[in-house]
Amino acid sequence: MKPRICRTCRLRPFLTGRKMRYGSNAVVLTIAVVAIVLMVNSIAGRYSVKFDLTRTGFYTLSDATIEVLRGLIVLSTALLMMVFSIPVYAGLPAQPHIINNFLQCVEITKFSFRLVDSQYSTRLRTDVTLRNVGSQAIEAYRLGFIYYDYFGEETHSFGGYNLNRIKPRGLDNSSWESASGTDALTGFVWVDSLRLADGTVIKADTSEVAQIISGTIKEPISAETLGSIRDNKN
Amino acid sequence: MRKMWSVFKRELASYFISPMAYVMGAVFLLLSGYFFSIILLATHSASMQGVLGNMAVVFLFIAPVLTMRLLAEERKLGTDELIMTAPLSITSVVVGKYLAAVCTYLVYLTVTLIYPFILTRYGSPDMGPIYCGYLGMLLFGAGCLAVGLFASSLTDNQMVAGIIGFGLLLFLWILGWAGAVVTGPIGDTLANLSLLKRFDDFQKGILDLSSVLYYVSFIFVFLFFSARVIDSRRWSG
Repeated sequence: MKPRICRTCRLRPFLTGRKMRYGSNAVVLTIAVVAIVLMVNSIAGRYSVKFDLTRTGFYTLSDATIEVLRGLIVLSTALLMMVFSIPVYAGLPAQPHIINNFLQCVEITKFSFRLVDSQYSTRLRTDVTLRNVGSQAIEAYRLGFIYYDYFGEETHSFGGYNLNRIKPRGLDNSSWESASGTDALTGFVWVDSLRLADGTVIKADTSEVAQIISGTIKEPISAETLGSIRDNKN
Repeated sequence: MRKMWSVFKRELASYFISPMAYVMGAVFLLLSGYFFSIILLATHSASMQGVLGNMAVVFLFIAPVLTMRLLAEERKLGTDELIMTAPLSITSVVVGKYLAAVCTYLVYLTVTLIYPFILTRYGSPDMGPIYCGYLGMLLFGAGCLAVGLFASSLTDNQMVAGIIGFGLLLFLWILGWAGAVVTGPIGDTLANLSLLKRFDDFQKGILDLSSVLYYVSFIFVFLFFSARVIDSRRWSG
């Protein structure tokens, strides 16, 4: 008859065996090393010391960007003026009361791009203040955007959609942040559509906007391009 | 130290006796030369910023191939038993082999110094970001090689070691993306562990000592893991 071995008797050699002893030592050592390394890195991250080795200092524009910006100053001014006078109401439906209302109800009073260098900054913020000078509250409005990069090429375009209720003669301060890595320096913004308190939706004529933008930058921008921005965001 | 030197010399010689180092070097230099030319022609800017970033991506593919042989081959041929019984510490073996791989990588990196030389010859580049970028490339590459060596210690099949190494590196590379999705301290931690995020600062000319420490720790941890894996064979039988 085969002699029976109790469980404890079988477990003891396993627990006190060579493999177990070395194995547990190795596991403890590995955990300790990883924990120490993580702790040291965490402390170093909290009290990190940075040295700026660039010629111009931290987060400044690179030489190449400054050169391009110098060339863009005139263009930027023109674009900003253009935004103030943009006829967002061009091509409105023929009903006189709506046109009249629209003509008086919206005005972009502030439009600014923060100049960024994509090498150093990851987000582009666009601030817009919309002033309601009309007699009806604006339930919602949507803006169209086109951005241009250092070389004047269109790189990014999208529409913003705001659902704030703007009272007559009220202001709405909004901002949009573009995706990281956008190389935009300047661009256009126009009111794409409005929804008034009575439910009326008024849309801008993109062909009119496209014509104005093309006239300013001397390059063709099609109404389809602007339309596709609007459609994509619907 | 003398024993480590012997391992180092032997490994370095085996790199340059076989066509491996030359083929890998040719691929690395061809691609980095291509990126340098294209970026220079497109931006007309005397900067290495985009070039170094692309070189790092290329090296991500090359590092596992350079290191996959180091420990896996010893195991396959059975020469690892000789090493384990020889009067030689595991640390000497691991570090010696690792330094040989780093030395090979340094040769590649030294050849690419011709790009900044061209920039200084025909323009006036900001040298700070270039020095810093090269330091970043050195640390990044050394980190990749440590991961590759660790992958090589896990198996006796070179191809499997290469694939594991590449998978690990890719994972560590894209770890930062999770940081963009997950918010809060977990997201920050994930982003901080990413190889990519740490390398970005070097490219911009920002020398962050915590990033240097990160790469040094990274190398140390993976070399330590490799030594543990080899050591485990001694007692696991």
